[in-house]
Amino acid sequence: MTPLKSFSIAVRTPDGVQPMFVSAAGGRFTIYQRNHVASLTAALAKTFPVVQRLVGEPFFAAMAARFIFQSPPRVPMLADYGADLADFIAAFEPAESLPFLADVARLEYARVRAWHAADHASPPLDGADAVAALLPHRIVLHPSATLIQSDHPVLAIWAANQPETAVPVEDWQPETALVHRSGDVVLNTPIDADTNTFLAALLTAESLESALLALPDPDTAGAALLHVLQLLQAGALITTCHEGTLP
Amino acid sequence: MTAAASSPLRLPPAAELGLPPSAGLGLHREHLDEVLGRAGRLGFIEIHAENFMSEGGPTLALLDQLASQYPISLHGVALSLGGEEPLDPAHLQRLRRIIDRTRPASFSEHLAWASHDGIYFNDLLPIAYDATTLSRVADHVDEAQSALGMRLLLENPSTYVSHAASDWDEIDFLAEIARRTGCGLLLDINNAVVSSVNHGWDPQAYLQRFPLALVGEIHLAGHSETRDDAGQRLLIDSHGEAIAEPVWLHYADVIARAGPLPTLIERDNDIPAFAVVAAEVAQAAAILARHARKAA
Repeated sequence: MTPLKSFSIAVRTPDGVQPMFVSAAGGRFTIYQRNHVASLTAALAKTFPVVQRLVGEPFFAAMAARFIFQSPPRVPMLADYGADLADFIAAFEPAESLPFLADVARLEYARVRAWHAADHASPPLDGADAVAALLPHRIVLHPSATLIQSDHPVLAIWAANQPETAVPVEDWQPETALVHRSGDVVLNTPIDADTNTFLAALLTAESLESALLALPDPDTAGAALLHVLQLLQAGALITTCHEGTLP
Repeated sequence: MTAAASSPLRLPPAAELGLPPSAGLGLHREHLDEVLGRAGRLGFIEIHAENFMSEGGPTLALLDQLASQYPISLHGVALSLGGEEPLDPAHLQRLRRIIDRTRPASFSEHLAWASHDGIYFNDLLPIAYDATTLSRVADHVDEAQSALGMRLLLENPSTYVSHAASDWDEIDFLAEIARRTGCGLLLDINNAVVSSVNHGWDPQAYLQRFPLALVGEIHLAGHSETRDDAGQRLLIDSHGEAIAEPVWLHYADVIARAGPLPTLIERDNDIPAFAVVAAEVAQAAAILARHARKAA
């Protein structure tokens, strides 16, 4: 085993012994063990403030320590760290009593990802010609966009736990959220059930036209198309009209 | 060898390089309004490269705005120059993108390691000062300078433990890497004090021996003081306190000997109001001005 390999294992092993080749009396090696966990816990708290607020700081710190050991950062951009925290929470028994917690983590991670994601300039959508021109093209999510389908009122829970507001969750219903960046703002857009169904079909369809034709009830096509146009205009969806502009 | 590293090395001549010999500030989101509004007399701004590696969006727009207003000191924390493994070519590319975008006046990194086995530790970990490690770090510095197309400043570390294998003095080790690679040095006076106290060196002697002619930037930061389990005095490089009085005294002494050098006020934790860090910038600027007049 190389020196830095044993050093790195010792740093990541809580209560582990320090490597033989390091001269440090007085328990000084523990500084590195503590720094590793504390600095990454702080990074996770920055990305997941609502999760931290929902469980409290001591629980969050204990959960983060387990997560950091199981799933350490693989790249040095700390804004990217925590992609799999939601899955970890879903399987973390001590958090079982908060079944919505994993989806809140998904929403918070999607918001940070949206902030740092690539740009994509969308052409303006004005006039019937522009809409007709969209029909043969594939529609995909903007690079900043994430769709989160939750069995819980994930948007309401998130909104209720912002520092500046205290909005009680009044209607405990499943919610689907589309998170994306618009200019300098990250938006949470609620997606209703019909749009959600259509969106799921649209994002895997060959083209907007084929998704509309595949609708089981043609009468709903108008409403679905309207929602898709709104999301295109908001920049949450993009078309593959302009070759070479996709990331 | 990576594709980026195999491109011909075109280092700009020394005269075109470098930060102004004035006092600058490490950027924090909390001070963005004042920094962009030029509220303080800031000679330059230092940014942590890893905070600006976004694919797009407002972070890159901020980067452009900062680069249009200030000389930029680009400071990396994750290149792991002291690591046992090859440098990460993806990370070199990400750094190169920021360098091409902002044309920084300086790029600096640490005499430390931060990654191993694909895990990023988010800490600057100590290396052994021996011949094997020296060759490896020198190779990594060579590779980084080629890939990034600019000279690098290598920062002296703060450490709490030492490797039993170390048979080189820290300053000789830094100077030898600079000699082999042509890199410059970043003298962190707080790190010098922290490591000196922690390892029983004399900080005054350390700074007397430091090769000031190679120094392209100085860092000043705060530390906290505690005792280790054996009751020995222990300094922690916390960057969360005001700059300690002994660090100021050593700084004034270094500037008296070397003349004005680009000086950064670093505060990374428990970020105070802008006025608090601006006062430290002003204090450094006053010391620089005193010795600029003397030099003139």
